[in-house]
Amino acid sequence: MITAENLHKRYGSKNAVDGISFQLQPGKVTGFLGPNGSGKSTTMRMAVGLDRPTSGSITIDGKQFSQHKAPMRTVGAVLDAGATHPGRTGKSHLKVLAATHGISASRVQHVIELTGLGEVAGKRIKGYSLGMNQRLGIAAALLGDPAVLMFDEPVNGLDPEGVRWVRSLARQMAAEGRTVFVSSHLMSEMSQTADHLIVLGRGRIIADAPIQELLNSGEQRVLVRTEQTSDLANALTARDVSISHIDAETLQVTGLDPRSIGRRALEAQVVLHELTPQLTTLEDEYMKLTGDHVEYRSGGAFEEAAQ
Amino acid sequence: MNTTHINTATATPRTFTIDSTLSGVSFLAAARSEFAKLKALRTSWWLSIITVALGVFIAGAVAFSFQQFAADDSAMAGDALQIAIQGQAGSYFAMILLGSLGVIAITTEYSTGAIRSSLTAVPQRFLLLSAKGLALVIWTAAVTAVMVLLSHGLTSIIAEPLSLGDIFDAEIAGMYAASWVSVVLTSLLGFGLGLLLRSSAGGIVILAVIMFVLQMVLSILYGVTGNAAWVEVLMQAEYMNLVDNAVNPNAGEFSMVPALEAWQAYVGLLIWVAVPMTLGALRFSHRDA
Repeated sequence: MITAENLHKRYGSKNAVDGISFQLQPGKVTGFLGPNGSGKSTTMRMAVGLDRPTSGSITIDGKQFSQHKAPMRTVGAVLDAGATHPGRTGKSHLKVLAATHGISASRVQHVIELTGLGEVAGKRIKGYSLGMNQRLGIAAALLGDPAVLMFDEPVNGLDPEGVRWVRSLARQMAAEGRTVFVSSHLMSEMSQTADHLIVLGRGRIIADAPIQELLNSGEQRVLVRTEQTSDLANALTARDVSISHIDAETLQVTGLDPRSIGRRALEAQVVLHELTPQLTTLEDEYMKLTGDHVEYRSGGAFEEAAQ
Repeated sequence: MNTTHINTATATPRTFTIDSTLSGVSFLAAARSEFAKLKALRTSWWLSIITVALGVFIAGAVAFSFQQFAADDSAMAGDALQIAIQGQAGSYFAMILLGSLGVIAITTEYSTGAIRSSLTAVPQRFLLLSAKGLALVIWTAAVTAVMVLLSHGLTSIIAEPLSLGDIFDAEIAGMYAASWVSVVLTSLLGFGLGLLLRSSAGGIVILAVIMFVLQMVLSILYGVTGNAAWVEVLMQAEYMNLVDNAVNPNAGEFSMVPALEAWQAYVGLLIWVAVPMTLGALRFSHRDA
């Protein structure tokens, strides 16, 4: 179990992590979602002792990572795909790490096969692609058969097969009762992998809830198509109902369910051509949650820039 | 047909437990891992091969010169100890080469980012540092021993009156041991500089300055200040002077400043090594990786 209590990290005048507290449960994949610079990687680095918290604490099973007798058997972390010496081979990198905990050569070979690195394990890491480096990082994390897995942006650079493999690996590890903590800025990735989400923005937690709860918390929107948009708009007008015109024949209604809209349309003798509930996507919810917490915002679209 | 959907996310999760019989991290295991890192790097092998080759070549060249001079002029023939000392001239190159290996042993961890993997496996920073230091000492000690023995062998074959069996002579063996210790300490000095500066270029340049430039600067200063006593103290405490005092039983014979006792020289060398090591270790243990 990973527990953060009032965790702060300050770099000069910048608060990278601003007093966050959370608790991750075993048996679940917890997604750590947030825009660039929101403090996800810094939090993970503090969890494994690479960075020191300015104040507060983050512990694994009640102890700081460095206090564990067998760190690699406690936490397997993939924090940086490039955290290897390019002059070593993939296999020698794994053997060097395995030697610290007396992990057997057969286990090294097992994780090499598991991560699909069999053909390149004997080659120098400097020739590896980003995807191969990611796989090597995952192999290193799995070496100690740890109780906690921590992946920082694990699908970066992976091909579609690799992405699916990481996704199923995370699910499988959680099903085995391990604590799985995965950071990403890809909402689609999280929606397919995580059970629980912690959303971070500018170093603060802006949501900490099961993924389904986040999806359910969104407003219900209904797309309605009719030739009598003004009649329908008049019929639907009420407090807590908002109506927006998408085009001449399409309205988007928020605050009423499709059944009520259909009934009122009938009462107003408005012919409907379409009545579609709009499902809130995680992306919608994420954008809504992090809208005010994005540190690095892109400029306008190319078209706007060109004008 | 009714189907029941089980949401694994909300099902009561089981907890994975670590097999407590499996071994954890230990100092020896960490040292073995660090030694494997050195072994896996081409740079380690290249620097070590060059060290041995250069040391043996210099020993052969020096022995050959001695032999030639002795044949031309019997007054030039030295005693066995003198020839053995000259035959170890390659150890000065060994100091800079293996000192550089000491720098690189830690700085490449930072320049490649591998320090993050190392610290994730061994998060106890002093343990990691000590293991790294021990692996470096074992490596450089082995390489230097090979260089010293081969140099002695070649010198004794070429130049008389040094013979192979003289390696058991107390004075010659002591000189070889001192030379061996100096090279190993210099590699640790490089390690300390690398740890402190986290820069390969910076560490190697400072090491070269300590070994080759400081002596010249102090000599000039000694002359400029009219042999000032404080400069004399600095010259005595200067790194290569301490090495000379530790290795050469005849140190001070041709020196501008009085020689120190061998034990004083060793204390001085240990201080030179301890200062960057301590400062580097403090930086290593307190800073983010």
